Parts: sequence; structure tokens; C-alpha cells
Amino acid sequence: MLFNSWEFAVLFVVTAVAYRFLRSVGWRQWALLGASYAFYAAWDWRFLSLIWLSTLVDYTAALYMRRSPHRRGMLLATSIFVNLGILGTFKYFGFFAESAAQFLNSFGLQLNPSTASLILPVGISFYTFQTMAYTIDVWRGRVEPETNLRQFALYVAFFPQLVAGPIETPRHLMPQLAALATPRGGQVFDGLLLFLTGLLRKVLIADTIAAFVDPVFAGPGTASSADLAIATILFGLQIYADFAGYTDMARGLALMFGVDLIVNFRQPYFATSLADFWRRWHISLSTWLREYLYIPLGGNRGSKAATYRNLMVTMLLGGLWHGASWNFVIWGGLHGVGLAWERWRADRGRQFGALSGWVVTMLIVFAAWIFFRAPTLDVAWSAVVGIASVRGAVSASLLGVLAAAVAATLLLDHPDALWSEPRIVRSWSAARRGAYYALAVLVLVLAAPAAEIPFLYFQF
Amino acid sequence: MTDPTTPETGPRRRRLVAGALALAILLLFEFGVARTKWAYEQTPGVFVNSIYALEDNVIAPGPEPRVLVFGSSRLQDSISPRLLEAELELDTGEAMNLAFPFGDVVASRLLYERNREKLSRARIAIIGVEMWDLFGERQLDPIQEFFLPMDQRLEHHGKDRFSLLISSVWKTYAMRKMAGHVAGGVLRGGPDLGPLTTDGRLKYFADGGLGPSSIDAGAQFDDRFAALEEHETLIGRGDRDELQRFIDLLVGDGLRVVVVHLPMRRDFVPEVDGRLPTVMAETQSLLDSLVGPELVVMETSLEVIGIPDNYFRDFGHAAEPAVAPLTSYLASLLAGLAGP
Repeated sequence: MLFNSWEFAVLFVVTAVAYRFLRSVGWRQWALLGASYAFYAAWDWRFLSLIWLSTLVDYTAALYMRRSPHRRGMLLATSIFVNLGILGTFKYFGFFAESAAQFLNSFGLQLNPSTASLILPVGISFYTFQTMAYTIDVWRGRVEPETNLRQFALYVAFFPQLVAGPIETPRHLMPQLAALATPRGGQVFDGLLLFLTGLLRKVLIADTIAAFVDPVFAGPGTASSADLAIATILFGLQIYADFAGYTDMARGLALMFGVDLIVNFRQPYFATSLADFWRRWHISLSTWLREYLYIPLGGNRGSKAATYRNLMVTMLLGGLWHGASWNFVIWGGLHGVGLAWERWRADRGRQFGALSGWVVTMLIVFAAWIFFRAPTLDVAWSAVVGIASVRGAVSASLLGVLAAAVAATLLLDHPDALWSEPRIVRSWSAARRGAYYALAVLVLVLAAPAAEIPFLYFQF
Repeated sequence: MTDPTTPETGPRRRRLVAGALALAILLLFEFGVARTKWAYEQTPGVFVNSIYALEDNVIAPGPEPRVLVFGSSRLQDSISPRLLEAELELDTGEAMNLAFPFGDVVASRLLYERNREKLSRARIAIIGVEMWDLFGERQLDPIQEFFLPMDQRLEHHGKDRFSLLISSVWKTYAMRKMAGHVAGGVLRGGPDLGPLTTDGRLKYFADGGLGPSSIDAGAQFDDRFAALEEHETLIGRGDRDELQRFIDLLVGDGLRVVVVHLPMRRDFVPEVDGRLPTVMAETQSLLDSLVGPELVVMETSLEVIGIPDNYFRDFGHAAEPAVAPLTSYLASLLAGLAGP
């Protein structure tokens, strides 16, 4: 069930009306929880059991951490074991088994792993990280264990952000879910604005670009260098419009229930360094990785070499989080190397200027997107070789799409963050807001591609 | 970032004015563009535009019709009303080619129903059918979203039902698949009735001349028929019931009905036979099961009609030289019908 589908529109309207009429927080939580499970079951009801397993294990583990403080470590380990076990089984088991077999085969040891082809439950990486954040924070003493199972279940499964984030922290989301109130008119309008803006990003930019990028990456061996380079840039714009669009829609939907989800993107392609990029791109994941991986590894508190190592490990695992593929590992590795290199330069007092920093950062970011987009290492390598070989001519249609995509992205991603910060839009005149709403609806209805294309981050 | 704990900053009145203004703009578009004929007259060749173009340029100015031709772009390009009139000794305008691109049986029936008073005075209706309409998944097109009556919208189940219900009251939504065509027509400078030929039909391909000596049959099969390969059986899918419904309507109005499946190029037929070995037989069987038509024609042999492969532009759209022999062949079949 996609946000931009009629089925979802019905589910949302029914839930919103019920929410409005229900007065107690408890019943509102039930309404949202029911909608969240229905939303998830629309994909595959069987995988609700995994959400329930995560919910029950982490709820229980956190409660017992308070009751039996001396077993806190064991309870945390149990929680992490179960969550990573679910993630590992459904997402990584086949990948590691196959990789191990290939490694052994290269030494002449024949091994054919009978890895069952498991379906990847949608959103598993997101809700697993979110629920792990809760038990880790309880273990650290940062949050109190939640005694209300319904409330905790809603924290794990809240439908606007269940399948592709933002990955919320318990400190931010749980207090809001515990005090669900009637959304004010301003919140409903702001939510609608965010939702429309996200929908514009998704259907107008991302889905349109996809039609031009996909054919180039389907056969990089025959595409010209310029077309491959343009398609790579277009993919960078596509995935940004797709994911930021989803996030805007998720934040908009949540806001219409009076819940404020965290900002996940802050104009990432204006970043002047890789560290800056990760403060702007998928902020909820980079925050999670920093708080629950990089800092526990030692962060930058140890030697310089240890800091570089921690950066590399964090980014490699961050890459692997996206998918069970060496492409994602390489993508993460490139960012890790880039971050370590930046740190190494900074340690020696070297800094890029704003413009040169932006150029270098974008070169690394977009080069890494090749590995993110290509379905296999062979395809990625073929694209890299294709770009480097300087062959063929540029396609005028791709150039036109690139110009239009850059213009549309800039329009929806103004440096002043007009669109992602509703409080700024609130200062608009009524005429300006009204015109925006109407034009957004008209553009969405009349200019959207006919086919519904799933959000790219649903696969993670 | 919005802080839910901060007091509301936007005055209620301004929100209401913004909402009212947005609604006003949407209504202005709805009644100023989406529900006007002007928008569709900019590009008369596709979808709803075809219906309006046929009504304005063929049905309205014509006399009381005697022979009607319904169907898709293949019929549109193949049958000349003037030649048909000459062969059948009818007056000018008494044969009407009402075929148009995407003119499947539902769209054709809607065109007939919109103009039933005049068209029901005809004596013969020829319905052109295509295999991909009979066996393929029914596609929701703008013509249905625009013109389908409410009771027929409610008959639909599945994912298209929402679209059909919404488009019944919101024509801006129904316009979405044509918006690009309309915008293109406006940008090109307005109405272009070039495809309306002097022989009384809207042509799909405007230019004349022979077609290619050979085609990429595999690619053209993929384009038209590949979806059919996914079905284990072809029987029972698609528009058989809709076709019968149209026939019943015509017969009920006193028309005699002829169902035609136009031939395709010789070098395309082996591709169809190879990849869908039963489709020809199943099409024949399906057409034979219809109740009401006086004649069902599924002619696969071009030798009977006497035209070579390059009389087609592609797998089955007639080039200009094929129009006369195809029209004559159809006229000979109609002339052979028993009775008055």
C-alpha cells in the first residue's frame, strides 16, 4: 500500500475521522495501532508476526531492566540478539551464505549453500533499528521503560514512518504518542502542505527521472560516457526526491495526527564536505549510527587511527544496512574512506574552500551512487568503465531531463528550506498558500506518470 | 520543525481563506478547462478528443446514416466511407467510419449511446475487434472515465473503481491521461484537423504511401500481445461480455451487426502462432459464441483480399493503398448479407 494510492487514502481518512471523534488517548492509540497493522498487513500479513515479536521482546526486556537491574546487560543482549537475528535471517543470511560459498569455492572447496529464498519484509531495517534504540536507551538510563504495551507497540509500528522511517528515537516519539491530542488546524494544514510537497517530489521528480535512468543502467555497456554520467547524476536526484518525498509525506501524515517526526533531510546537495553531507542526508539514520554505533566504538575519543577505523566500520555497516549486497558495502566504504580522508586532512589543518569543498563532496557522493544504483557489481563496474572511457555522444533528451530535474529539485529544495519548514510557509499570505495548494493538486493530478512506482527505500 | 507544544501561530481566518482560494482555483480549472470541449479540440486524435472530433465532424454534419463502422485505429485507417458508399450505392455521408485510436468495444458503445438518436437509424453496424481487447486485461481509459454512466461505473470492481467514481464528478482527474496531449495541442497552436480526410474519416496515420517490406515481428508482438502470454488460458478474459452487450444494444435498436477481425501482415502471423498457438482458434471460438451478429469475419489470409504485406505500415495498420481493396472486400461481404 503506497501513500500515493487510493487504498491508502481510504485507510487514512477513516483513521483520521475515527481519531478526531475518539477523545481518550487510549482509544486514539488503538485507532492508530489498528491502522498501522492494517497498513503493514496490506503488504504481507504474515510479517506482522515479526513486528509483534520485536515489540514483545523489547517491551519485556526493558521492563525487566528496571525490575532486575543486575540483569540489564543480559536483557539488552537478548533484545539485540533477537532483533539482529530477525534482521540477519531475513535480510542477510542468504548474502553471507552465498559469499562464504564463493570464498570457499575460490580455494577449490565446493560448497553449494541451500539458502532458502526468503522474502524481505518491508521496513524491517527501519523498525528493527527503532526498537533497538529503545532498549539501548533504557539500558543506558536515558528513558524510562514503557509499561503500556499498546503505547510501545504504537512506537514500533506507527504507520507514517513504519516502512521507511524516519527512524525515531524513543525520547522524541514516545512522549508524543503518550499524549495524543486533537491536532490543531495549523498542524493539519502544515501536514497537508508537507504531504503535497512530498508527493510532488515523488511522483513528479523521482518517478519521472526513473524512466530515463533505468534504461541506461539496464545496459551500461552500450551507453555513452556522457549518458552514464548524466544518468548517475539523475539517479542522485531521483533517490533524493524519492526518499525526501517519502519523508515529507510521512511527516505530513504524522503531523495531521498532531505528531511531529524528525527532519530527515536538509538540502544535502548543498553540503560542502562529506561530514556535512551526513548531517543533511538521512539524518535519522546517521544520528542512529553515530549514537548507537560510532560513539560506542569509541568515536573520536581515541587515537587518530582509531577514529579513522571507527568511521570506516560505521560507514561499512551503514552501507550494509541498506541491503545485503557488496554494492552497498562498497557504497558505504567509499563514504567511510571519504570521511576518514576529510578527518585526516582536518587533522593536518587542511580545509577546502566552500566551492571546492562542494565540488569534491559531490564528486564522491555521486560516484558512490553508481554502486548504490547498479543491481550488481558487474553492472557498477561496467558503468564506471563506461564513464572513464570517454565514448559516444551525449543524449539531448537526458540533458533536457537533467536540466528540468535540477530546476524542479531546486524549486522544491530552496536553500532557505521554504518547503520543508512549515513554520516559514505559515508566514505566507492566504493567497500564496491557497495558490500553492491548488497548483500542487493540479500538477500532481495532471502531470504525474500513470504507473505507481514503489519508494526506493521500501526495499531496505 | 514544527513543535507541537508551541501555541498555534497561523490565524484561523487565513487558513480558511487559503483553503477557499485553493478550492476556487480547482473549480475554475474544472469548469473552465476540464469540462469544456475547447481543451479537447486542441488535439482531436486521441481519447475523449476523438469522440468530440467524430461527433462534430462526422456524425453531426452527416445525413441519416445507413452503415456504421466501429473499431480501433486499424479500422479507422482501413475503411473509406466514401468508397463503401460507392460500392453499396449509398448517398454521401450514409456510411460513417466511427473508429478511433483505443476504440475498443466499450468506448465504441459509449460513442453510440451518446449519439443514439441519430445512429440508431442506421441499418448495419460493423464492429471491429482486436485480440488484445478480447483477451487482455481491461484497461481503464479516459473515455470511460469521462462518459461512463454512473450505473456502469458501479458495476466495476477492483482497483479501477475508485478512479471511475472520482472521475464521475471530478473531470480534472479524468483528464489526467490526456493532459500531455492537450498541452501539446495548445503549444502547437490549437486545433489540428489534418487527419480528417476528404473521404469522411479521421485517419490515424496522416501520411500516405506504402509500408515497409518487412517488420520486426518480435518487437511488435511484444508491444501488443506480450501481456497475453502471461495468461494460462485466454478464454474468459477481456471484453467478450462487453462485446455481447454492445451487440445486444445495436440489435435491440434494429441494426444488423457484423463483427470483423481485420487481417494482419503475413510475416506477423507466424510470430502470433509461435508464441500464442491457440489465440487464433480461441478468438474464432469466442466470436462464434456471440449471439446476434449476422456475420462474423475473421480473415487471416491476405490472398483472399489481394493485398501484399507492404500495404501495412506495421503488423496491421493499413497503408493508404490497402484502403480500397479492404473497403471493397468489406462491401462485398455486406452485399452478400441476406434480406433487405
